[in-house]
Amino acid sequence: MRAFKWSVGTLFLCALCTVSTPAQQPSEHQVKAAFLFNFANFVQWPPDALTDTTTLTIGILGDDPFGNAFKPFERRKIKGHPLRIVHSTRLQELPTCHVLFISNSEEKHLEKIFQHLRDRPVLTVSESAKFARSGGMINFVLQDKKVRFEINLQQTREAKLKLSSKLLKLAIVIDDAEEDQD
Amino acid sequence: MIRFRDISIKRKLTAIIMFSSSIALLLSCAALATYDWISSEQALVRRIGTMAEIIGFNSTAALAFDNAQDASETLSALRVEPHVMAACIYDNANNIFAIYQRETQPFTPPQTVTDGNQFIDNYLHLYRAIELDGQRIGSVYLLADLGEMQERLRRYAGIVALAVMIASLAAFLVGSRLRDQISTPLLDLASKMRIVSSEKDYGVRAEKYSKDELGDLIDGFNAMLAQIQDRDADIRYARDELENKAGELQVELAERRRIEAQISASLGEKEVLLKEIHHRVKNNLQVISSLLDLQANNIADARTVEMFRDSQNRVTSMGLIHERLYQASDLARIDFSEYIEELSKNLFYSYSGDAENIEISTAADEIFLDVDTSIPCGLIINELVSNSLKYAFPNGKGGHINIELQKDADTQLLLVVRDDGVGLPEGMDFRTTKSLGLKLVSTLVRQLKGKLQLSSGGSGAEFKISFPTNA
Repeated sequence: MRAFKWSVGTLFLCALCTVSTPAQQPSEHQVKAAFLFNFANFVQWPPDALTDTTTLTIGILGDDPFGNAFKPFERRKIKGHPLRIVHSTRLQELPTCHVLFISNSEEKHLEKIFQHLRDRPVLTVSESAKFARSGGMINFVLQDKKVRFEINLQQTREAKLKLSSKLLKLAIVIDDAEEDQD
Repeated sequence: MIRFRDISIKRKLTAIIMFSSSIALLLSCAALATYDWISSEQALVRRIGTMAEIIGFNSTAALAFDNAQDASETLSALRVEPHVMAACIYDNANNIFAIYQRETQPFTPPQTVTDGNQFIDNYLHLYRAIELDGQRIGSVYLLADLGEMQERLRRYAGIVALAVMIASLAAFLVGSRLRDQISTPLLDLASKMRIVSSEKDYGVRAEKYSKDELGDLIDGFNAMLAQIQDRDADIRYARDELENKAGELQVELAERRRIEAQISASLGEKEVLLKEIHHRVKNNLQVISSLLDLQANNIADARTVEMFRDSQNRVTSMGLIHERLYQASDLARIDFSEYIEELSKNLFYSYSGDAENIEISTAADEIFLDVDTSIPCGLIINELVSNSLKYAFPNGKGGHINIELQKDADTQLLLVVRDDGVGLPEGMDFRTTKSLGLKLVSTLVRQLKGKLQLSSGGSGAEFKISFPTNA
């Protein structure tokens, strides 16, 4: 470890300040909202799922834990696509999403939801402990009070989503195939 | 202290060669070094800039997902680049997100982000924006050391110094050969010039080494010497010629002087001789006159005596001329006015018995006449005056006889003999007269190529004779 003039603690402190102003600590869900937004930058959808004119849709299924955490992103574009954030407690009511955040309230219906989304290019994200190991793609976890995420590559491959290596580098990768071998 | 312009050409050329080659080398090396410095600066900026871009690109996810550790790992790849001393990644709010540092010495990351490149104190400060999907999400800062470049510049300076020294040495060695090409002919020329000026030997010639301006100079110098020699020869020839001419002239002059002396001697002899002749002629004429006189004394006939006297007077009038001639300084001419005076006196005494009451007056300009003119002219006066004395004043009558001689025009003389006597007998024509005297006058006037004009009346007679003179 090199001797920085600035202590590591200070660095972490600063690192936490990326999304919000340094004076105000961002809440966990504000960070997660930003992450959801940013995932779209590192994921490549099949061309027919995301044409040039398509609006990029982020869906929230079940109870909405974000509040107004998406407000900073509402009028922004991702890769040239307009951004739309939709929320519903019922899967059928949601339009075709590119990113779908499944709230903890839907934990019991995961099987059904996965069935419904099978082979469709929808990036599923959740924050429940076993999500990534039970058919989900990305799952938020907390490490040292910092938001990190697990990625199940098997699932993303099946959904024909290509994830950037930069994203994978930051993720805790869960590969079903590898686990099978173990 | 010797000034540069006073040192010898040899040294001057050496100095010029070495100085200019060193300057050229220094300048070109400086230009190369500058170019090298600038291009390595640009290369460094390109390299470090590329590195910053790569780091920025690889840090987008770390920034997006707030993973400072990952950013630090990305930065730590800079280990392979020894010139990067430190690096930083800033987040969107310009807070330090990740940091990298090569040395253990303290490093304070800049608090403000200024996009672009800055060279400050041998360090390159380079900032690049980190963008994700067109949005700026942070910045990367790299601090690069220019030590390598400086090291290279120092090596450059060392090489240049060495090269300048070697080049100077080479220039000295090569230049001394080249220099001799110029200095040898010049020195040779200078020594030849000294010989010419000190020994006045215009026969020396400078050796020509080349066909350039120096060759021309030497040709010119030699041509000048040749010209001087030619001119010297010309002058010598002309002087000899002059001396010869002068010698000849002197000989000639001596000859002339001798001839002149001879001539003047012979002239003197001739003058003496001429005087002697005139003297003898005069004496002989005098003798003739005396003989006539003696003869006349024995004659009873008055008319014959008169004829003798006339002849005696004629001879005397001629004798007077010869007397005048040998007495005068000029043997060829006589002062005729004086002659007329004397002649008239002589006639007057000759006829003194008959002419007591007669006055003779003369009025003559100062006129010189030669022998050929004097003799007829004198005889004419003698005849006319005798005539007047004998016939113009009969019975002891008194009167005047007037003799005038004057210049009539440039080459004409006018002789007038006039009396206020009884005049000539009427109807007498002097051209047909039987009088010897007047016949003589007529003949003599013709001899003088002159004209005779006669006017005669109760108040006397007047003869006007105009004749040309060559005097």
